Amino acid sequence: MKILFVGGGMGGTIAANNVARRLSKEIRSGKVEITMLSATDQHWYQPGLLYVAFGKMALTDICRDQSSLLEPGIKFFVDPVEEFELKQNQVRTKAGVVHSYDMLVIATGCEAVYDEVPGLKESSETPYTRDGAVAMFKKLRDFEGGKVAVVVGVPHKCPIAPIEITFMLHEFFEKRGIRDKVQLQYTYPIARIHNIENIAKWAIPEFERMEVDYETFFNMKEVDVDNKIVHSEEGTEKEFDLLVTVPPHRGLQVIEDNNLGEAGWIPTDRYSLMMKDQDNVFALGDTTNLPISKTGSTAHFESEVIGENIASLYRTGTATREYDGKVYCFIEADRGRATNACFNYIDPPEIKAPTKSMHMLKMSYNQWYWSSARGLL
Amino acid sequence: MNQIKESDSVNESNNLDNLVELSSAISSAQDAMTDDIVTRLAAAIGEGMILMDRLTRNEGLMSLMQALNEPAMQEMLERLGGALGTSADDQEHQDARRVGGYSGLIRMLKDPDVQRAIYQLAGLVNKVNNPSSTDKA
Repeated sequence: MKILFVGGGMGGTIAANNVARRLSKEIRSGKVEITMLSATDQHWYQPGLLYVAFGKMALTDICRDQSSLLEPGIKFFVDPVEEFELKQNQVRTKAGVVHSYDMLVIATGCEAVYDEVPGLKESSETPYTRDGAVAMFKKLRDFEGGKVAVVVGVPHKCPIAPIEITFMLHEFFEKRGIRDKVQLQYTYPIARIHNIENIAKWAIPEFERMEVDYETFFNMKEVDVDNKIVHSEEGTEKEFDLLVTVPPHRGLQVIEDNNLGEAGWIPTDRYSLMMKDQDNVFALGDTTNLPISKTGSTAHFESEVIGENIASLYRTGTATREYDGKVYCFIEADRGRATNACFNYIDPPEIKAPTKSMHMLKMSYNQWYWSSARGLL
Repeated sequence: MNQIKESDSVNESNNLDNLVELSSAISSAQDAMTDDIVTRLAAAIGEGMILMDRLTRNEGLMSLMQALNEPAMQEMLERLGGALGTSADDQEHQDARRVGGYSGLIRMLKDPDVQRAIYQLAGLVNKVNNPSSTDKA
């Protein structure tokens, strides 16, 4: 049996390792072949970029060679897929190589896009890209005071990020002793300050304590670069001296080009994680069109389901597990504290008061991620 | 009522004091921790977990560990350890003129213990290369 993984990010890597662990004997005997195709030979721990943007981690801390994270027996090629030929059970790569498969897992992820908001890229800082995170830290380090606006595009990766960024900005300026010179303004595109109701309820008193101004129903329309003003679709505006953005995201162009999903999001069954109208194609992580958080933990929990089901399909012809929508997010707060949000399709998160222990756990997880990627944690 | 009884029991046995002490120690340790310390500790634990995972899933290594666990093998390892020690001592005190050269080598090969060891080594190599073989080397 040939199992092909397209995409070597968090989801693809954890899922491939999960399958390889379960079918290690079959791989060694040559009955199962696992191949991974990726656009790069590097593996980035993307949540670490937030820490890079605040000077708490370096880029070298959050990158490893992809091949060093893969289970023995997984064939790895840096050669991105350009054509998906699902009817023929094969893909064609940039180098022109054709890879056939019996089971396909698409985990191509998503990327930040700026073209929907004119002026946003040239006038804002963001922790969502490697260059952006480094540049943001330099700007924060040199900032001497003024209006800081946090603006949020939709959809975006890591739903907690807007709140976390605001907490971390508050703490950063407080530690630099210039918090009283900074007017921190938070905006959010819908009617409350976070799309998850319990997180919004928890964050409002925290924002009030930190003296963060907030405005809801603020959907970015364009940025007046010269006058440093963000205009919203709703007709309001925000002046800024420093603009921090959570940019809108889209699935990869290759998904749209191959007619696999509108805006690069693959229509996916929320329980089986099987691509709609397919019986041997799974979609995973940010790539899916599921209305749940696009975050590393989602990809992680989905990977376990897909790993178990692929092994089970191989051995018994039947899938055994369904994804329950589980998501787990750490939420960095100020003063060296953090909390977490854990939820699924049925149960909303209950947010507890932030603690130092939870912050330590988050700092620890930043190191333990590499065990997760290997399919251990 | 039961809760009051339990509470009294905790107080009487000094458990409450102990709990307060423990909680104070944990809180103090937390205060002493920096992000750097946590990061270094977590990295060491993380790499340790990865190493342990790799070792415990290495079937070759596990079967070697199993073999090394046999009483006979442990006895042999003890003898090996002892031999390494005495061999080093012997070499240190040996007359330099008796060491080396063809005659020294031939003298050593005539020793029945050395011959037995060579046979055992050859048998082991034969087994590694040909696991189903029952030939005596």
